[in-house]
Amino acid sequence: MGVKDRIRNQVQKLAKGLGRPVREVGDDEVLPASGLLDSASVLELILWVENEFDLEVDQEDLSLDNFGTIRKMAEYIEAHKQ
Amino acid sequence: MPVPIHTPRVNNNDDFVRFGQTFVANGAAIRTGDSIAEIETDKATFTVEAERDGYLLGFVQPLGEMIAVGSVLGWIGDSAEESIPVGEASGAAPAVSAEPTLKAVLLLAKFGLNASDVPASGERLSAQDVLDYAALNNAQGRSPVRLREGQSTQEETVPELPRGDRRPLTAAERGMVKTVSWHRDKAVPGYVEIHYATEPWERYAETFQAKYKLLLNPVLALMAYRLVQLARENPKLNSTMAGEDRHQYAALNLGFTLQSGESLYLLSLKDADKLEEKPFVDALNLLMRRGMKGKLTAEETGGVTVGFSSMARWKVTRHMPILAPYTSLMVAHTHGTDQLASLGATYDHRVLTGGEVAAALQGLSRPGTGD
Repeated sequence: MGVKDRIRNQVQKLAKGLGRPVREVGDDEVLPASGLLDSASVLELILWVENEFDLEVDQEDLSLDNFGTIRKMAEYIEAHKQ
Repeated sequence: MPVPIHTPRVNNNDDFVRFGQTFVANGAAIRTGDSIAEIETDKATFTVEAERDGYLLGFVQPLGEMIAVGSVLGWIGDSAEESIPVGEASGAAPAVSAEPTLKAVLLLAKFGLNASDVPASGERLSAQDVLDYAALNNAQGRSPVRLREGQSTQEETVPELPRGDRRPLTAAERGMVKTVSWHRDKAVPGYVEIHYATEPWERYAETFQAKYKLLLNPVLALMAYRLVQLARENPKLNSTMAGEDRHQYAALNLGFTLQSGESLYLLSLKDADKLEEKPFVDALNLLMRRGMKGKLTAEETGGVTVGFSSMARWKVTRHMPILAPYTSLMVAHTHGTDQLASLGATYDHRVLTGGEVAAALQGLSRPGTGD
């Protein structure tokens, strides 16, 4: 399974945990505006990324430009994987 | 020559910590500053670091047990072949079985005693043990023990329960028991609530998020910031009772609840009133990340002077939060429907009136002027 699909699965898992209806999430859908995740869940997603891909995300990197969509997140992961 | 690793003190109020986990195998080479073990208090985990280069000879305390601050946790040697000194090998160092009960802890503090000074009559050090010891030794303490009318020094009597299993509480659960016990035993809680339109806050947060290209919706952090401003304007909100007096805190440390997994933390953002809006939001987000990673220090969870709690993520439309110990105000943020939501607050009626709290909530119901 590719990086984007793994992220997509995790987003859906977190949304389900919040009791929100699980649906398809596009590569370019802006996650914080998707209604699937609240702020705490976005943080949980970042924590999952760090553990899953063995990388540490700097606080200043936590921006829409780097993590706003599944595509951007996957690009960030590819660029920073150890 | 083997050098002991002593169990560090994490919090002034905790004479005991739980030995949580180890990061280094026996015989492994370690360097100064390496993380070698983790200990837990009720509110935080703390990483024990090696204070010198060498080899880890072993830990001598049982993993998962409560151990005394200052006791020998393990040993470091100059070579992996050295032996742990006789009498200190695994199991030889006594684990602390007499963990004090909450009432015992309070009495120990009153008398200025250490838990290790007082013999326990049972598996746990009880309030009665402390009182007996104090009477025998004529302990004067820092202040006389004054019990409220009708309050007993005896431990709560557990009725005969139907057959079942006893499970020890986790560190987080014990912390929660302490907090709710303070609320029950010390505060005189009241609760007020208002309705407010959510749209102004949502619009303000959207603008703020777009301006700084933030990943996280900042609405809760911004509301917490507004609370800090209000508490700065009315210092009574940032007070607690101290004997017959009202103690007005010099610093303003914001408490902010965070649910991470099954644990509920109260983050403590120190000197929150000294921060401008954007640095405040950043600092709170950083604290939340540290909380989710389980990396909070005692400093980052203690000393709260005013609190903010949201249960909006669970679609809760009303909740009456517990006051953090030695605070007088805990704001309750909830989920809105149809552009309306309720904003409530639990307060200590000894310090604040319902009218003062309602005024604070009215102020909080709309964005301030920002920076």
